[in-house]
Amino acid sequence: MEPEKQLTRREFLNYCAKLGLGILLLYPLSKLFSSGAKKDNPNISRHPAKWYKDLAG
Amino acid sequence: MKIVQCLLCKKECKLVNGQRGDCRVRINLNNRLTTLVYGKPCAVHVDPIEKKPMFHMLPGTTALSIATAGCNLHCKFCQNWEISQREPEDTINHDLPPAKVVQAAKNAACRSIAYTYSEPIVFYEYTLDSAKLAKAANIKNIMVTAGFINRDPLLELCKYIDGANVDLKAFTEEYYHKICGGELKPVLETIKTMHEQGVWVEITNLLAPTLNDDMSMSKQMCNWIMDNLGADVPLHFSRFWPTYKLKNLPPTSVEVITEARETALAVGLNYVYVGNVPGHEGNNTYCPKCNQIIIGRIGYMLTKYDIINGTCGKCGAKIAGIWD
Repeated sequence: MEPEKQLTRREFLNYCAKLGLGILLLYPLSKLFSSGAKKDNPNISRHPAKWYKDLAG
Repeated sequence: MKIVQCLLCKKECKLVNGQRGDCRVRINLNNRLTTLVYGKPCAVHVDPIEKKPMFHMLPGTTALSIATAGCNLHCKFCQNWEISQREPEDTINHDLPPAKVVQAAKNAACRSIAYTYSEPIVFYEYTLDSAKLAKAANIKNIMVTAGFINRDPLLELCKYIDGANVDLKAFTEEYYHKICGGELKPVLETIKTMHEQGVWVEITNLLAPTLNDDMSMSKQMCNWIMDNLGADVPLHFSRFWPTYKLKNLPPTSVEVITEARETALAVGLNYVYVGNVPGHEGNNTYCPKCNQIIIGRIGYMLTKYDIINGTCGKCGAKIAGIWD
């Protein structure tokens, strides 16, 4: 049986960079598809609502 | 990033950009609260007004009945969960702005427009604008609602609403919390406010076996109605039918619903009805003075009408309601 391969520091950083890049790419895409009010959906409207207030973010 | 807080109902959802409220139809879009259902009803029907149920308002007439997706409560027994517990993207919606709603009511010779089926509170702006136009066109407005709304938006709405059937689901906070995802106190406030503002109010109470069919609870509720609204507010006990998340329960027995009606009459309420039991004596309206049937009904159909100028055709006693 072969000994378990040890992850080098370089490989680990490489892996982290790819993961970070993936998240950076997927996040805006997920926002685009999951924000609900899809811009081209004729089934819904986007009308100003009443009765709300702004809170400091 | 700004956070927007919706102040329409007691949930007062705090929303970051892109987030929807608990009702699924109000959303923070670019830091502005936006409704996704304005002019987009998923249900448009012509119904007998008795179906709402409104028994003391224009009997025998029809109401153009509209609803959009969404609700701010999540009742486990909801009869209309296929639209109330859905996002508006998931329902098939019509394009019917307020002016077209009023025109449709005129075309169908409806005396009233009912904002119903799901929850008109969550399509507030659509209800309000349609009601304004309807009032100008001499068409009455009816809300069929659970009444879970803040006072200020309600006061604005009351200027245009003629009648309301408020679903008083039970008389304990625990029931509202566990079964409906809401609170009792704001609903009681809504009923009182509507009554004070001159809206003709009728109340519906669905009796779900083992959950809220305890007669002491019914009696407490009836006493509250007597003390806060008076004897002339109609109360409809509605028969539960297994659906949605409560398919494990049996339908309400006719004996229990009859007992609830008798309890309410004993408390002193003048007009107590039984719903979803066609042919029951509690379908009819009785004169509180001479006890004669003045409006006979089988289900939604009128079999007798003996009210003349708002008074009993037999003894002349005044019958509360909107008759013309």
